[in-house]
Amino acid sequence: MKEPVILLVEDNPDDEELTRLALEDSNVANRLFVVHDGQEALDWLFCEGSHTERDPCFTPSLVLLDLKLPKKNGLEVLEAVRKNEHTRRLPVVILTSSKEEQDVLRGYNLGANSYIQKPVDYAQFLEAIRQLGVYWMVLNEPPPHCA
Amino acid sequence: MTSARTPWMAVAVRVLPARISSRLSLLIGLAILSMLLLLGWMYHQRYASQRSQALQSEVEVAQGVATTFAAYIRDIHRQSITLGSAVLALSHHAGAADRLLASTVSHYEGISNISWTSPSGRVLASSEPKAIRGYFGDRPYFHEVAGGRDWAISALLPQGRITGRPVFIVATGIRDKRGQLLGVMIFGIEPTRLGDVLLTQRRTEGRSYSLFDGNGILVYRNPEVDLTWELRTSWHDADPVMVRALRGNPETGEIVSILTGQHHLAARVPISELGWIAGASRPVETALAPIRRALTMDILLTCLFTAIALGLAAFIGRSIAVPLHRLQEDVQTFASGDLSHRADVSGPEEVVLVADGFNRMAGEIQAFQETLDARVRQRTGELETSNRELESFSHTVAHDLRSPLRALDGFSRYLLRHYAERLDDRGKDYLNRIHAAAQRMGRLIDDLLGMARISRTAMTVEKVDLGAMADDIIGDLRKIDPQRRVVVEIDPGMKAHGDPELLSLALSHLLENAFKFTKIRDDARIRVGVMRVKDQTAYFVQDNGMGFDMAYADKLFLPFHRLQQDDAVPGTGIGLAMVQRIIARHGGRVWAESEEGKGATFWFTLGESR
Repeated sequence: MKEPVILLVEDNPDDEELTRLALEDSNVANRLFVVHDGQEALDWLFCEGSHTERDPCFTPSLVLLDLKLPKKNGLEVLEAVRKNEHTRRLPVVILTSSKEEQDVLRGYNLGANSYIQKPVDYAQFLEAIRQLGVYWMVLNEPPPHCA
Repeated sequence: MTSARTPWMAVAVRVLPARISSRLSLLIGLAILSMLLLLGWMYHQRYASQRSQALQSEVEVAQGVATTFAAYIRDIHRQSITLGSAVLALSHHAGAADRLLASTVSHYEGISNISWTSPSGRVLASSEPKAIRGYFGDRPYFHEVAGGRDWAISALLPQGRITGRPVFIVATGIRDKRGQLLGVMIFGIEPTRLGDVLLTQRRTEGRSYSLFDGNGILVYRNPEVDLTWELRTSWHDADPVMVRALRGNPETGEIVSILTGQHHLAARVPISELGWIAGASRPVETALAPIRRALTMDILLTCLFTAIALGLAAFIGRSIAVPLHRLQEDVQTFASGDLSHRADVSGPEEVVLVADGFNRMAGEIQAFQETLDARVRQRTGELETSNRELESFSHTVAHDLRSPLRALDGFSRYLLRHYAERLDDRGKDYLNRIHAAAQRMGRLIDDLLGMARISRTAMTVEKVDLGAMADDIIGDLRKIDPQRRVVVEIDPGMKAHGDPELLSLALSHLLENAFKFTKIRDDARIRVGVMRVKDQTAYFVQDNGMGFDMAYADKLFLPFHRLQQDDAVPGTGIGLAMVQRIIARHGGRVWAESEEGKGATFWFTLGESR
């Protein structure tokens, strides 16, 4: 059985780095895959485009999804993920700067498992990522891979 | 031009009925009334003239009777003189005078008997043998003759001494050349027989003529009827016209006949030489029958024509009132909001003009309304667009401004944590400053978004207890700094209507400020209360803190505008701006009063229309 991985969908390199640092600090030593726009995220998940080589049966244990993304935004990605038979049970946590009610509502309507606003304060951000990692990667039992 | 009403118009408005149809009815009614009055007057005139004509002809008849009767009496007088001379000449032949008188009576129809008396009244000769030696000297008429008069007529006597039937007497004195009374010739006349010889003319249709003596007793009536003595004497009481005529002048008038009970038009003419009265009368019925027949016909025709006129008037009235009523309904329909409704342009010219004018006006109003609607739609659209833009802007702010801040904060922290040994104190200080600035900017962004949310979220208005709300907030504030001693007073009964979440937010900003700005004092006091200010309920939060210079009072509520330096009192300057927006959304007003160093009072009202 392969090591569980996290897919981070994040276009901002600063946030990508901060998330990576936070995960390292939290000792959630899982592999972190990073994609930088919505389209690439879907390609990665559905093994399409530049990710056709990837084993389609290998799904991440957690997708950390930003909302504001180039090409396809996070909500579009989420919608597509929930429509696809292989990925519809995937744990998706929206991790975004926005706390707008609309975004929260639409996120949950489309089937997000959780919605977390990235705190501006780094200490809080760190804590959030730590708890996320512990919960989803350690406590949570992910859906099985290819059935 | 409503002000140009003349006074009589004002009176008309007060007196006349309000509705046009009622006024038209009144108009028609008045026209008919005046027509009826005119008709009545005309009939009165005709009636009066007919009546006076009838009376005149009765006078003429009565006068004829009077003339005839007077002539008859004069004739008897002359006859008496002739007979007297003859009787005197025959005085030496016993029985000759009696025979002469009897023969005269038999030739003289109407005369009942003739007697010849001595100057003292003793009967010397008579046509009736049983009257001889009779005595007339006690009679009033005899006294008159004996007193010197040529002749005299008696009143009607109930029963003659000779005949036993009602009779009247004509006595004539016979004198010698020196005027010495030689004897008296007495004619007894039975009135019932007058009709046979004298008053032979017959009248028809209930008309009659009659004779009354000087006492008003009925002597004769034609057509003849059976007259009892009682009837003859009681006539007097039922015939005021005759009673008047007894005074000497011809009279006319209306009487009620004792015989028939009918009303009669009667004329009574005195016969001056006798002191008697001649009368004639006819029933009112027959006298006025033609005019009454005509009246009946005329009334029928008048009713018919009036009915036709009324029908026409009603029709014409409706042709005025109905279009006006329709116009009124059209105007009401329009006024109640159906701006596309137009008045029906028909009816009298004036109504057509008004309806036409109204339609033009309605058209303009509708057009104006439509432009207004279009303009409002356009403006609303623009507003919605700008609102959407604003929303997307705040969304962008929320999302995009935070990321660089997190980077600033995160990396500065990371540096401080993992690279501290390579930095001197100054470097650490700068990193701390970067960290603090990032945190502060984060708060500013949060506040800005909070402001936007206040304007955007839907309000749910319900009853709120501002006192309880303030109490909760103060409880929270005390927990933040348990060491501080602040005396808080909250007025009872601070009930209001509003959105509980927004009002709580506003109140917490005001109370936070009050806590913040009293920090310098040991005897901090805060009061939350309510007062009536200019007929409005005004709530206030009062403190005895630093206060502010009233010169800046109008800048207090501007977003991010602070009167204090950052380090003196912490804050972003968004609180009061938020308070103002919340109060404005409730339709209220917020203002502040202060004296520097002595404290501040923040007032607010909530729209009271609810």
